[in-house]
Amino acid sequence: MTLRTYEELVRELIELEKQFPPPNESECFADARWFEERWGTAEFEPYRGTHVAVLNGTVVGHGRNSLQLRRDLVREHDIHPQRFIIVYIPTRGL
Amino acid sequence: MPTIHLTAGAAGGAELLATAGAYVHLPEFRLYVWVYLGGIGTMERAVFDTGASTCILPSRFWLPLHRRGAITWLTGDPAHFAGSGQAADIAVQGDRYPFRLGRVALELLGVGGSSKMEKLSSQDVLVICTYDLPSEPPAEQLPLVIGLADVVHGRTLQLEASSDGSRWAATLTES
Repeated sequence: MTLRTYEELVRELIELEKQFPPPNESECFADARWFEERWGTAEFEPYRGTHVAVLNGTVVGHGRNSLQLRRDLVREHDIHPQRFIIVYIPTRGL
Repeated sequence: MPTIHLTAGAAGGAELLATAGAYVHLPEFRLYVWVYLGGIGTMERAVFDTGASTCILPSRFWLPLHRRGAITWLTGDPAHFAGSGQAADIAVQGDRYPFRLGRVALELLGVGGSSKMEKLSSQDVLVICTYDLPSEPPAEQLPLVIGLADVVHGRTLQLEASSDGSRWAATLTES
């Protein structure tokens, strides 16, 4: 992975944003709250060392590169890139 | 007055050997906050670090902002020390990274309070943008860090702990 690859992913994501209506903020808020309520529990243990993506109160994907994860999920779910809540789960601790 | 609730969580700590085989536990707590960066509607979770002088944005956060022209750059690419002209670097989580300084619009969000999202007004803040790239094998990802410079100006950070210290709660209020 290079800086160039990162930049290409960013360019793709910005293009994808133009294809969908902006996300509903209260839906994003609900998913952020869902994440916080489960933070520190065993729910995220399997995802340590990766980024998890939350949509509608469910983990819908995880991966080592957050930009690539977001791009892949947009293609899979056909919704705006900013609709996903993506958080890194550290390998140890919180 | 606008207030946001931060999330406070026990983040482990250290055990030190004491006398007679006992040990002393030094607890560690971490505060988290949600943010919008650069006026862009992606909700990001960040560590609210009262020991950090300013905000630190790893590359996965600042590259999308840069692409949109949402960063006002203050230094070259990367930053160099004045005088010596040597490339500057910063230590984050035990490794050193080149960086670039800029200013970014930051809006703090709270999700730990009522059933509605809490927001403080957007402020332009100083940010350190690190040149950290994914490696093979993958290394631990740097967190998005919200430091104090600019962020707490005109605001009050209040921290409360339960009587046994096991539970923390924190709010940030705008005057």
